[in-house]
Amino acid sequence: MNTKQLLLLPFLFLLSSVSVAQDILFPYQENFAWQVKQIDEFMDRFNNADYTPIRRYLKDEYNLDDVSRLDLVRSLFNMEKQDWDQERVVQFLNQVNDTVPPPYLDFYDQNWYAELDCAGEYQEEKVDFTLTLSLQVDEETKASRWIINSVQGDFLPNDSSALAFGVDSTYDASKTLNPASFGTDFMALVDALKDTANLEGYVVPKSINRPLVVFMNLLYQRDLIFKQVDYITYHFLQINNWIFQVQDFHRESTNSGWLINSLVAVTEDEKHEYRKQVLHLP
Amino acid sequence: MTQKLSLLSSLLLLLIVPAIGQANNDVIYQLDDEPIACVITEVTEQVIRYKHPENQEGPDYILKKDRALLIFKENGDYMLPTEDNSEWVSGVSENNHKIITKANEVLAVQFIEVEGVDIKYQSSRGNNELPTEKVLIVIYKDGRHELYDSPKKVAQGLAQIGTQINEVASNEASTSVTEASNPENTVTASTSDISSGEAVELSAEQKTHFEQMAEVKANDFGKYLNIISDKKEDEEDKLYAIEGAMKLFIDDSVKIEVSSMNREQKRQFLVPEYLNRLRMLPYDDVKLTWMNAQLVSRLRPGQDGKWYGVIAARQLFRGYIDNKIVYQDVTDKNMEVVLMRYEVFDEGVKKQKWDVFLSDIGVQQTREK
Repeated sequence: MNTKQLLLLPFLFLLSSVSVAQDILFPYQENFAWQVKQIDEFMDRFNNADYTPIRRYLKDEYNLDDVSRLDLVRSLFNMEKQDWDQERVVQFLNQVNDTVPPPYLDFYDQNWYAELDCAGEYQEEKVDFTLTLSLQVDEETKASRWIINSVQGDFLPNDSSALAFGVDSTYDASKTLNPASFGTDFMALVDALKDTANLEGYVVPKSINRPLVVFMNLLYQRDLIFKQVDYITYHFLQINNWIFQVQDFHRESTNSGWLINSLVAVTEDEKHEYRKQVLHLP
Repeated sequence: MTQKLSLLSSLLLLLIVPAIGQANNDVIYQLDDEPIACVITEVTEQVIRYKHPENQEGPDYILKKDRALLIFKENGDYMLPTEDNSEWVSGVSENNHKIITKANEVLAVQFIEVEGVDIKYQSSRGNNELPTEKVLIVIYKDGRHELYDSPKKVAQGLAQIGTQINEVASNEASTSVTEASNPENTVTASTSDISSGEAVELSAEQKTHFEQMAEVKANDFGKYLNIISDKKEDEEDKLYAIEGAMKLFIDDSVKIEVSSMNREQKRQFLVPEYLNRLRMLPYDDVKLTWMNAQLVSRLRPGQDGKWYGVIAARQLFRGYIDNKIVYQDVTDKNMEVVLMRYEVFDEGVKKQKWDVFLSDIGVQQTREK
């Protein structure tokens, strides 16, 4: 049995019901229901939360109340990927499913990051760069915002020494990337990074590194224009001994949207290195 | 009847029907006499002063208060003059129409259409209908109203309902009443000003209520898009639909992202520009199907005092020239929704209200259908 079959098996009984399709829109509705449309929907499905669009859909369409967490986590893997290490996947599934207390993903835990491949214009030339963002949370109120932690690009210095960044205390603190900015693939960055008077609201000044200082100064001087976010990868470091990456897969299928595309077994030391070497965190 | 037709009928109904009580006037329903269409200037303990609507610079007319059963102002506020300590009651929610039944239920609904002896309406629970014989009055969200029983019965019904008119009847609990007059339903966790950015707590019930309201608004937006893009619709109706759609958004600076099978780069437009471009698409005909929008990211507090969530919807688009499809795609849209507090002056009193609005809309993916 190949990986795809292994992962799909629990859902075959559901997919067989497609034969009762009511109208020509049905395949689109079915695929849309299964699609993991947002990264926090991914987290909710991973946790088998009571409220998820897929549970709502299964209840409404199939009168199905009881869906196991194991099945839901299986459905979060990219099944089109051919080279999964099945033994490792099963090990991961067992840990998620059997550990007491079960490991969950937490939106407000800061051990997850958004890596954004972006395009801009620098000295009238198109440039590519990568931003790493994380959620900054007020622990008391749970009010949160997204902040830029690091940036890498060929036009930026590549050493990561920390530098002071002069913060203009008059910036408008309400100008932030709101916690749902991921929902529109951070499209708000286009306007946010043009707003040079309030750039401070999008970084954490006390832990800024040199490439980010240069990046912010280029934006401030309008030498660099942020154009768009091209691609997003989410990195999850919340589960003990594992790191996995989640990416968005566009296809007309019940296995689409934000799915696990990379799974690595790691030690805590390796997680620390991952933060520095892969995410370039200060 | 399709939802689009139902919506249009609803819009047209509001625009066209000139029955008493729906014209742009205040109305005094008299005891044992014809209603008076007028402009009310003052209501004292003893009398109602009003002017002729077509001679508002002219003299005041006076009616003894005990000769009036019910006064309705143009904006939907009403008063029961014969009640002790009679006061103006706000009958309007800006997000829904209200059907008040003879069983003293208040149904808050999104779209409404009177067809013969039935009132068809749509709420977040789907489409329903009610015979007019069971209805006392309909109060539209723009302030107009329509009586389905004698003014005396309507006044009695409104008296029994009292200020609970702003609560939602139990069988329509998921519809979108914005104002919560019952303290238990009121969002009161903080009295801080909006701009302070202090986080405000919402109960699970309140959160669910606003999330359902957001889904209703997102689906309304889809219906408006359908009208705006439809080449068979009158231009006037399309402009009216654009106006209606704009009211769903937090402000005019909201951006809508657009993608195409024929273009690698996504583009962003301000909402008014996007809607106008949609209205003028260079096709002979356009079929735009907006599948059920659903909340996929629950409301979370931002550091600016507002709450944010995400709604996902799938749009099927077909453009025709000479009866042939020349472009079609499937686009997944993600809409930010914002729950925010704002202040209004109601009869001179400053009140805080909450409402949920649509914000930036991004394109998740575009595929050929």
